[in-house]
Amino acid sequence: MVIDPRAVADRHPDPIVRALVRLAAAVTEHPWAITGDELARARAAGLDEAGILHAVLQASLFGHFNRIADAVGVDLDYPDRFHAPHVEPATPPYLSPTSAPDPQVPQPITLSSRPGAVDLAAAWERYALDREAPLTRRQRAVVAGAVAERLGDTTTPMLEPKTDLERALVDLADLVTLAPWRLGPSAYTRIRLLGMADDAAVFDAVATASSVGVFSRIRVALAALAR
Amino acid sequence: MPHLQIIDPAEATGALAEVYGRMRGRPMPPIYRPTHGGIAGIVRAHSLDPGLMPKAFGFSGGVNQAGPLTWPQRELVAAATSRLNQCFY
Repeated sequence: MVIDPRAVADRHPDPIVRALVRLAAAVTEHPWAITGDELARARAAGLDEAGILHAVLQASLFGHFNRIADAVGVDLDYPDRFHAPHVEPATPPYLSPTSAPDPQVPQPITLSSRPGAVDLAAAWERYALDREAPLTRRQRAVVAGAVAERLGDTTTPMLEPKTDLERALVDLADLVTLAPWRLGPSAYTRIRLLGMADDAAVFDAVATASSVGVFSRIRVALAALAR
Repeated sequence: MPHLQIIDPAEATGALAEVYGRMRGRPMPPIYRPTHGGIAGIVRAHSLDPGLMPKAFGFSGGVNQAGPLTWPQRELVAAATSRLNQCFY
């Protein structure tokens, strides 16, 4: 069990362990702040391009599973032998971007270098964005734009929320993206009051933000490694 | 008590019952099988959206079936991510 990922990233004796945890932390906390130094460091530790891509994809994917598990509040599958640390809701949110990588620069590592990954990602992303219910397409686009903006993904257009419900969906998407440890019943109160009362609609609001976050994280991390 | 509804496999009908059946049939190392004998909580947590379930877990299979990271290395990335996100699950 990883108690303090930052301590592992800094001090673990195995350079590959340090590099993998550093990558996981960067993708999770601030993909927009990654630079080519991260790539050089991971290569020096002994990871090749395919291994670095694998770590980026795994960290992005688990970001989704973490958010869904916390948003739904599902029970543990195993006896808790490790006594997991308590959640600290007062933990400050992840930082919003102060810069964004240029997605047009040729990238040293691309999603297409992994067989099948582009199609699987596209199918999931299309599902997240291209439906009319429970969230409308417009609401999905508003959420996707907000999530992209919080992660430094300039490939997804930011849409100005126009209604109270759209603003509440953006607030929830912020929480999903930058402070997932605060997800829970009180996070859903506002969208429920504004008409998204049933659990399937609330789940869709969270899952849309979480899903698009997976792909914004991947895009931003891979573009940022080119800097 | 979950924050959002979880439809258990025993109560599932239609598309959800069908996708639960597919999830149950996935190849899986024995260590990943929940001690309660049922479908993993993270799968059931997706029960309100049976369309999303195969998309997310299909991507997961694509990410993790072929390497090149070893199983412990994948788990390390997952554990570090989960800890930073303070995921209780």
